This record gives sequence, C-alpha cells and structure tokens, in this order.
Amino acid sequence: MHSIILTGAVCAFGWMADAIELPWLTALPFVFLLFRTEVRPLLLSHQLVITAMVVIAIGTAVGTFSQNSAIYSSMWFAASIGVLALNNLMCIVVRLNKDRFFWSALVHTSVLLVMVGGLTKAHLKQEGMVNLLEGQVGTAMMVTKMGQPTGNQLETPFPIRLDEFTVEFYEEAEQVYIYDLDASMDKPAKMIDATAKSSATVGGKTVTVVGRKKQKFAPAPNHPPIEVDGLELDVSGTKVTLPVNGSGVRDGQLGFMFHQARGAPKLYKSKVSVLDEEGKVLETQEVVVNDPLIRDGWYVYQSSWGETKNGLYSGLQFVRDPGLPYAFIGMTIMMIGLCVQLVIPRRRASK
Amino acid sequence: MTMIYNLMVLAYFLSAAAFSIGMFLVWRKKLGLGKVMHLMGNILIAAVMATGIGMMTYSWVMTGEPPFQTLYQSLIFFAVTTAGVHLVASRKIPIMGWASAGFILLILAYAYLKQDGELAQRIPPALQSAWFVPHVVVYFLGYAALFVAVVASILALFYPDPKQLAEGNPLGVAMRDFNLFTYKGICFGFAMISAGLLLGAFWAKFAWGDWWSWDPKENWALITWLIYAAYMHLRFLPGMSNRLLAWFSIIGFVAVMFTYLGVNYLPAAQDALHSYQQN
Repeated sequence: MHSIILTGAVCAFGWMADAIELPWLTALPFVFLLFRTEVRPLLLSHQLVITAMVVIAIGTAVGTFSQNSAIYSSMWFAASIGVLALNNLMCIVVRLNKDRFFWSALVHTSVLLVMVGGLTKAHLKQEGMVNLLEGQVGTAMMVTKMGQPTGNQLETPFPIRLDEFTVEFYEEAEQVYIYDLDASMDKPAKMIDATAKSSATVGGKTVTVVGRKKQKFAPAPNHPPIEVDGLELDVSGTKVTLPVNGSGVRDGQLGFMFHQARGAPKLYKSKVSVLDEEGKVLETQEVVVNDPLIRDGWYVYQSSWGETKNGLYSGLQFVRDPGLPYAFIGMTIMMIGLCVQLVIPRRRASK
Repeated sequence: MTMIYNLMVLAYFLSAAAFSIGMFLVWRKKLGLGKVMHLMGNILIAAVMATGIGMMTYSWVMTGEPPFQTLYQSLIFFAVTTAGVHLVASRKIPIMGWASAGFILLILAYAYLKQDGELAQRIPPALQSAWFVPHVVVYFLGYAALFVAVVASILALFYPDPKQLAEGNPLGVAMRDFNLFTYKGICFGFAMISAGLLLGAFWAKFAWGDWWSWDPKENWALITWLIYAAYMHLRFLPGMSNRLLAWFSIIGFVAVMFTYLGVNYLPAAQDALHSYQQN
C-alpha cells in the first residue's frame, strides 16, 4: 500500500509540475526521498519496483491505445520512471559489496544506464532532415522532433554534398486487386500476385489465378471488340477473365482490377562527401539504410527519397544523441547479465 | 511449398490425435499403449519441426532472403520453435503434448489464413540488416519458452499439488512443482525476449536513427517485458501466493500474443515503423 501511495504521490507531483509549466519541480520529491533515511526500506522494496513497473506499463498501453504520444513526455510518466530508477539505484548501492549479488547488481546498473541514456536522449538529442539532388551541397537542415518537422532550420554540423544517388527496384509487380464492393469501392480487400495459383478469400469466395488468356474486349459501348491479353480467374468455380489493360471487372459483390506497378524499392543509396568550410572534401562514403555515416558524434542516415521534375532527391537525416553511449553500454551489459543470471546459474545451482 | 505446409498441418493433427488417444488409454488404465501413443505424438512433432526447418531452409536458399519477413513465415517459425521447446519441456510434463499440439495447430491455422495474399517476397531496405535474423530468432525462442511456462501456470491453477495430476494420470509429471517449472520457463523466456528487445533497439538505431521511437510494436514489447520483470520481482514478496504468480504468467503470455499479433490491428500501427509485418 505504501508503495502505491508513494508512486501515486510522485506521479501526481509530476502531473502538477506539468500543469503549472514548471517541469523541473518533478525532481523535488526525489531529492526529498533520497535524504529521508526512514523511507529507504520502502525505496528498496520489491513492492515499489512492481508498482512502478505496472504504472509504466499502464501508461504505455494508454499511450498506444489513445495514440497520444504526449504521455511519454509527460512529467507524471517521467516521475514513474524516476521511481523505478531510484529503486534501481538503491538496489545497486545495497548489493555492491555482496559477491552473490554481483550479476543482479550488474543487471540493475545496466537498466539504470539505459534510463540515463533515454533521459539524455529525450532532452539533448538533435535531429534534422536535408533533401538533396545530385551535386547539391547541404548546409542547412529542417529541425525535426521524433521525425516530425518543427518548422525551424539549423546549420548542418558539416557541409555535405550528394555526389550520386541511386534507387534499385524489385521487378515490376503484376497484381490483381480484389475489392469487396459491399465493404469498399476504393480500397482493395486483398491483393494477390498475377501468377498462376495465387489465391485469396474475399467475402466468402476463393479467388485463384488460373493464367493468361486472350479475350475480346470492347473499349467503348459502340466500339467493335478487339482482342486483348487477359487474366483468367477462378472465383469459387466461376471463370472470370480480367483484361490486363487496367479495366475493372465485376462478379457479384466482388470487383477485380489488374494492376501493373513499378516494383517496391529494393535499395536506395547516396554517395556523399563531407566538405570543410572551403569546400575541400574531407571524407566520401556511401550511405544506405542500416549503414549511416558517423562523424563528430553525428549519424547521417539514408532516410527517404522522392522524385521532383529535376530528378530523384535523397532524404538524409542528421542525428546526434549524447545519451547513446550510456544506452548502448547499458543494453550490452543487460543482455550479458540477464543471460548469465537467468540461464546459466540454473545449471550451477543444480550441481 | 503449399503441399509441405499441408503435410505439416496433417502431421500436427495426427500428433494431437496421438496425444488425445494416449490420454484416453491412460485414463482407461492401458498405460503401455498410452505411452506408445504419447511417444508417437512426440515423434510426429519432431518430424514436423524438422519439416518446418527444411521448408524454411529451402525458402532461404532459393530466395537468398531469411524466411521471417511476412506474418505467414514468422508463424511457421513460431510453430517450429514451439515444437522444439515442447520437446525439451515434455520430458518434465508429458501432458504438455496435448497443449503444444493444439497451440501449434492454432498457429498453423492462423498462418493458413494469412498465406492467401502471398505476394512475391520483396524485402524492404530496413529489413536488409545483420540484426534481423538474431532479433527474430531470440524473440521466437522466448515466445516458445513463455508458452511452455503458461501451460505449467494453467496446470498450477488446476493442480496446486502436482501429485494430484500424477495420481490421476500416470503419464503425469516428472517434477515436484509447476510453479518452479513456470519460473524456469520464464527465466529463459525473459532472457530471450530481453535480448530480442535490445537487439531490436541496436538495429533501430542503425536503420531508423533512434533506438526507441515509442512505436506501438515497441511499446507492447516493453509492456510484455515489464510484466515479466514484475513477475521476477513478485516471487520475492513474502507470502506471495502461487495462484497470483500463475495469473501473472498468464497475463504475460496474453501480452506476448497481443504484441505479436494484436498490435497489427491497432489503428496506431497502420503507419507505424513495424507496419511491414502485417502482410
């Protein structure tokens, strides 16, 4: 009960600090708790850690269901994470000098490190976007927060030139769009490959692609039919031929449309050069998704791409996260610590 | 490929039937025949696991891409890991065969529903990463271990004393405490889902620029992790009832299933970073 009251009180304090727009006030109860020796047993208790975890889990679930990401940056949510951090800190201090609790203390330290990394990221992370055409040099970026533009601009940490940008696509995709006309005329219920034996079930009917077939097709009401390529479909035993020129066909509640599209992007890569202030090339690197350029604490990502009348542009994202070393060290220790503590000791104990 | 899938389903049906007949025979005091049927059930599950691994290896070799990209493929892999963990766990709780075969059948039935819109595999750029395979493999090993743990938890609710089960069913149990078994399963599963969550965070940093984005899938992975972390601490509370621990394990597994399958249906997940998993 004391744990619930304490967590509730700290979260309520955070909520009030948010309401009066003085978020730093959230730290006050933590300072108070650290110096009150009589509450230390409570701060160390398992009840408190469980309460804090349940509150964080509920807050995260509410944020997901309500699609309200403001919850994650609210002070009451931060306060519940603070309670967990405080409990962790107390556990580490108590267990430091006890050999048999070494791995437990290590895991708790790692959790604390990840929290420090997250807190640092939340307050000090910088990010921005630059869209460049081939040959252009980027010196200013649109500042973003959690991927969304804030409307501000900043100088890039270093000038960057896009030397070359290529996008590779998968092969052209030929698909059959199947519409359940009772449900939606605009959005296909299912999409299947236009290859023999592809099938889907829509509105209780099974649609299977049989294969290509020539068919007569009248492009206009008074136009004589012409022979065009078609695709034969089996709709729960009934044969339907679909012209491959993009015209739709209806069979009861189901509608069909042949769709030919450029394949999905397979890979997009930017060859970029980092320049000094005089335009001299300092470094050249290929940036692809999963392989950013790392320089002076900044990560430059291949984030997006698009087309303009002047050609393809490459979207590069600049990110600097001072909390990253803490988070990465914490995560590495946590993985090792949990595996040693939870998987290996079972054997040792049984011996 | 569809034929191999059908064979897998058929073999799982046969294993479920073998376990059911085995249980019936044991109940009718025909212990020897019951054990034979039970062994057949396990052999069928092992054969199907091997077929699943073969099917995935074939797909990997033919396409050059890891066979975990679509929901259908991940469900097949989940069935394989569940079968593998079942074979280890059933040495301790033979009765688990019936639950495992039933659960795997559910997974395969759902996979069947999801295979119809099977499009040619086009792996998006973000998934072309060395982090992809370890992230998925440890997660599904964890999920399988947590499934085994939840079966033990349910048994613990019905049979607080495992001897009761052993008396009614000589195939029964080779262990003294379902709660201890649940704990062991959760220890392994929790270590695996933690590793999966952290490997995912490393990967996200290199792919999306941020190791944590409050994406619905990430959020539910965190909620699942918190529930199991709370379970690990709950055990230390003095006088903690085994029933509450069992219920926590059940809630944890519901969260696992929601993270894996349910999140995809949330409106918030439609444009989320993990949305490619919904195909």
